[in-house]
Amino acid sequence: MSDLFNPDQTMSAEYTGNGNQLFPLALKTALLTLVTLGIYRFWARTRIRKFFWSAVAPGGQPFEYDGKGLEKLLGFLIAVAVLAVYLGILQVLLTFAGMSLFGMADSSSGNELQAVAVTYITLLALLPLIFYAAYRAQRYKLSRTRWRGIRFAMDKAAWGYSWRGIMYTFLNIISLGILMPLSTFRLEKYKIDRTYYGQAQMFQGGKWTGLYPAMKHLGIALLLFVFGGLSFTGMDFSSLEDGELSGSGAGFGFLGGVLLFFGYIWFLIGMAYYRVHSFRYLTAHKVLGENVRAQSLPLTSNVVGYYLLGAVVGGMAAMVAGLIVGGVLALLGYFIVGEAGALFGGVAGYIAAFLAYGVAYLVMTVHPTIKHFAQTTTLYNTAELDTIAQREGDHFAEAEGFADALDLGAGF
Amino acid sequence: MLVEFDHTRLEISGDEIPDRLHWAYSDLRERLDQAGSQSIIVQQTGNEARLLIDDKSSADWLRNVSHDLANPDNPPGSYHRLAISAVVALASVFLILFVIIPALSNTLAALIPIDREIALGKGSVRQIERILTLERNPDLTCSSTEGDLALAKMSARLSAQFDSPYPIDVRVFDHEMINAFAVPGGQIILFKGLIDAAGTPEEVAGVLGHEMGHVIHRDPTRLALRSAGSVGILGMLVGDFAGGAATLVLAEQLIAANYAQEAEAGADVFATEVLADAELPSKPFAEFFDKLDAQFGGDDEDENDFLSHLASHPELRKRADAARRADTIGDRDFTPVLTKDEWNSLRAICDDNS
Repeated sequence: MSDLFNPDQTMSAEYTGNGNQLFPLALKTALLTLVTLGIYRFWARTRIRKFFWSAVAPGGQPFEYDGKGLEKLLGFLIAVAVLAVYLGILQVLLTFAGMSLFGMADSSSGNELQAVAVTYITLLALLPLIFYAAYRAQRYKLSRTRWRGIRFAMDKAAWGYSWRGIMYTFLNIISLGILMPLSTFRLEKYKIDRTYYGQAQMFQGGKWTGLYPAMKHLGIALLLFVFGGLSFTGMDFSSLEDGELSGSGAGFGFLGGVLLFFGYIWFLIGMAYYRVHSFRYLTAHKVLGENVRAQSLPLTSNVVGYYLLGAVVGGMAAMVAGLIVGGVLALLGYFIVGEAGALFGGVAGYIAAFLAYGVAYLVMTVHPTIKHFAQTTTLYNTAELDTIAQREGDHFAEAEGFADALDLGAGF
Repeated sequence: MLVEFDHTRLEISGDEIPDRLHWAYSDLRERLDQAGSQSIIVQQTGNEARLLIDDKSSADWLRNVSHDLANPDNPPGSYHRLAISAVVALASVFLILFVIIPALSNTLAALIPIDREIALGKGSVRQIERILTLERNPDLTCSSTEGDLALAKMSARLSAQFDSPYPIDVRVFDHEMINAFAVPGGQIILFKGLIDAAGTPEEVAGVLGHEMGHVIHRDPTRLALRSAGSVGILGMLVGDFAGGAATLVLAEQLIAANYAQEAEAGADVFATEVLADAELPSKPFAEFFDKLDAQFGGDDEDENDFLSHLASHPELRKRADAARRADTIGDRDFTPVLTKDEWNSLRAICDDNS
């Protein structure tokens, strides 16, 4: 592979962000979001993106984020106008269908079954919109991203992504996850083959089977589940024989429990490993223009570590902020207005806890993760970049409104 | 590259710049929230070129002379479009929440097969029993030979006044709560606490008439459909704003209360009409509300106002007044809904329950 690369034409990425700068920005935007009852969230996300984009600088040249808060709010309102009608009618119709079909007499699980069915069917009815919104959100982000003054862009092809996304999701479920690499690869390829940097098009090379090595820890988790399950069954047989838990049976049950527990932990880490290593593979097989290539070598341990750090610090920050803000406001509220005031204080404390968690998550998880990805990424054959010409801007009013309305724009 | 300046603009020249650039200070825009140094990156409005000044004192100087650095340059008409979108979005949400969903729910409620509604109602009653007792297979229903007869007599006198698509099935639950409810499909549950709190059988008859109103109006089914429709929309509006779940619960309560108030008022009207047709007074029904009001209505006006928005029942005093106005018997004699003995049997219906 190295013969493809001209050693004089490599570019590694710098990361110039630091937590001391990010923390006040994250805190300030979170507080503004709070006092504007959530409306500022569109501007908050814009500012946080500006920070992270500008912090990543391949070859010393930072990315630029050009999005605006106002266009995000506008897009959100448009999406709400459309989705309110769709979702409202859909939910009523589904509940009606559930009542007409699942109202089983004297079946104690009738109602629960109906509730579960309605939830899943709703999710199913939302699936096309979820993929549609995800594609458009990525198109919006790319269209507002520049590097060395040149814009990124994506074709208008969200519905094509939507039906493919649904198809691969089903394939994934039917194959019990065994075809996950196929779905990961094809969906990524669909997006990358429609992505541009200036006039240069990107291409996703490689094969979907190339992602199987990334699944190896999921395989180990599966083995642990199988053995754990077998041990559990072993316990059941022996306890049937003598009517109570025999010594060896209890031992088997304990072993089974331990195996299942470790299987679960291994599964979670295996998912992280899959995401990191499929990212490595997909990045190594991307081509921009004629032959600009990239390599990215992030480590699963770092990604998991930052995630845990964010969860722990975020949890503590949320607890402290929630107790202090909630406690003080609830007491004040109680003495000034009475019960309603106390209730208001409680709600404020709850919101403060979430905001504190959000700030901690940005500083302790997102920031080091992006830093790690940036610092382990290298671009090759970069001379070609100088020949890439600018392209027209992509102005679309809906921004990432659908993703916002469907809650897919979590974080930043 | 050379940057010169005078009192109105920057002048930029250099080998790679074919023509000298003149950037007026008022046209300069800063790239905000940038990571890294204390430098400043500026551009001329709408211009692709960027100027990086990597020196704190020059950056500070430039910030001082340029007064429009943070202008987001929203395209003209942006605020106009924003206002229109906001109005359209709000109108759409209100239309769907308060017109389309209620109308659709009312229509669809009538289309659900009767046997399905009855089955749903049975499921709901079982669920409520389980919640009340925290047992897996509870049976709260009270029964005694005389008590059942008294209950059937009261129910028959009222239900003879209207046609019902459902068999009306009235039961008493052995529970202290002063409450009664109707589920889809014609089942009505009176709590023993309510019978204990009532002074006369006519008070219970009023409440029973009210619950029959819910049954005939298909309120339980309509309301279930409506709240299913409104939850999704509210969730979307609140979005990923931190703590959204709490706001969601509150908003959902307000809307549900709004739907329910209308249903309660309708059931009250039905009750008074049925009482009148059955030649029974509705004054006792009003007195029962007064009792509830004395027990639960606060003295503190503010608190009462606040809670009345969240409570499903419109203010009890108003409902009592409405029931009193609808009374058609006045001081005339009437055939009591139950004899003294029957009333005592009904009050004792739960005594055999262990």
